[in-house]
Amino acid sequence: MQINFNKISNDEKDSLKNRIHLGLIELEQKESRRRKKKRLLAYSAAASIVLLVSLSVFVNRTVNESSKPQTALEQFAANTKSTESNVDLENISLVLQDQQTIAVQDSSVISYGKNGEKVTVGKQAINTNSNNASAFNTVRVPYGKRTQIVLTDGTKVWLNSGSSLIYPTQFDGSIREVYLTGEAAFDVAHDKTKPFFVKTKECNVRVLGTVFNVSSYLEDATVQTALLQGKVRITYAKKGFLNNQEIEEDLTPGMIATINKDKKQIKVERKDVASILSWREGYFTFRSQSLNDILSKLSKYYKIEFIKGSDLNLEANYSGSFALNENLNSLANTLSSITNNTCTVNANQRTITIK
Amino acid sequence: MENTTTDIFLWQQVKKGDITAFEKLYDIYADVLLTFALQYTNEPTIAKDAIHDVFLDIYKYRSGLAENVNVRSYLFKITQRNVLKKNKASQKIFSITSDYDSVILKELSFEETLIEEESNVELNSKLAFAMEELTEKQRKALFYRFNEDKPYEEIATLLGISIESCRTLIYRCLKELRKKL
Repeated sequence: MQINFNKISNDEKDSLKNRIHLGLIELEQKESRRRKKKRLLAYSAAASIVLLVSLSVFVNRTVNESSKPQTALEQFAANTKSTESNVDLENISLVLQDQQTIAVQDSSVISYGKNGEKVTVGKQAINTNSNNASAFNTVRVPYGKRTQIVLTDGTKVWLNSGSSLIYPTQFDGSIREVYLTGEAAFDVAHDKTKPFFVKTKECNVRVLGTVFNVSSYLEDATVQTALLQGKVRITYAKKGFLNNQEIEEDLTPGMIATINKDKKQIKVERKDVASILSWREGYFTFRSQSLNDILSKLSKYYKIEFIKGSDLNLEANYSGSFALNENLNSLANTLSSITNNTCTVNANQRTITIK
Repeated sequence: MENTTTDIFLWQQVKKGDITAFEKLYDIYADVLLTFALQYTNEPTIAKDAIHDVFLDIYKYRSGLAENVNVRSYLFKITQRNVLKKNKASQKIFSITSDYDSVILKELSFEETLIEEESNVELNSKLAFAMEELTEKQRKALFYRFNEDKPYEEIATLLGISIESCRTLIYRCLKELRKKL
């Protein structure tokens, strides 16, 4: 049986979609003209002259940024450099409103008091010096480290390697919102009067007292939200056939939503969520994930680079678990035994060659 | 073929003129239908035109669409029909300018043709789904090997892998495809 393995390029697929889009507009216009004619005929039967309101489908084809006004938090996040990659960062840092930067020990807990005026970093108590409602603090975590934050409403946030979180010291408004770059797990304190929002560059996650994980690394092709408990609603902007659409997806526990940044499509699956949150406990657990994904996560969590052999099968699936405080040698050994590849460590350059 | 609840829902919405649902349906099926269409023609243009016609016709004649239809089967069947029609159309042009008397090939009975076309759709649609799950590399490898008859050395160079990995890659792909068909 002769099979055609040829593939139509993404560019061609996009222009096909545009053709169909245009065809749709034409159809709509034809239909509305026909409707107008029908109505005209009906009205002209009567003696009186009637004003017809013309129906036209107005379609905006240019790329439109979301027309929703940005909140103070989003503007702050856009203007501040701290949302860029944390590649050069050495220590976990907490940046207060007055730009004071405090170094935080690995695996410390950053805990805010009830009125947002004091914050405890590990064992140290510090004044936040916040003087107004838009007092935003930022925590930045370099690759290879993690930290835990307790926000002023009691919400617990575990911030993973290579991530930043911007949040107000006080939740004064009608909603609670935080801005995330990278990956974090949330255990949101119940407050029916103030819904909790996690905002990232691509999407917003609206929360109703729950435990979930959001992964939105700049260098990844997808944004992933995994829900363990409770309920969340994810909203993201999509350029559609009509205007810009706001797509909403509700998740129930055990579901994972993955948004493809390029295609602007969302995929919702029922998968194992617990292992995605395992890093809070200090483990990186993976079930049937491709070697490519595993290595990419390991790079982030341990701050190492992998040199991949040319014969390496990156699509092979593996299941396993790594303790996050392992040294490079035991990491390499475990990786070898799981995948049956040879792993050589170069401690000076922090690389592992796998082939 | 499965008729998922999403498909049924979207279908009903499209019948009502819901453009968002139409777009969602397109996004779900466009890629796999293109791969499917390419099994009936070598010309990407014909495949793209077929998908274009199929979807615009669906919207145009939406009020006349059947309510309880298996959306997936329907989409594949009409795509096949559209591509074959286009093939015949281009063939007619060819035969008019042909110098030779038309050669009468074995003609199947009308029923046999129908049955063959139906089982054809089943198989090719399964194939299209399976192919969509291949990675870029896997698909290129299979294309070079079976559609362009390139030798393993050349394919290995084009993909930047060793000849051994190339063989393994292709062997494993075929195994996977066979499993899914």
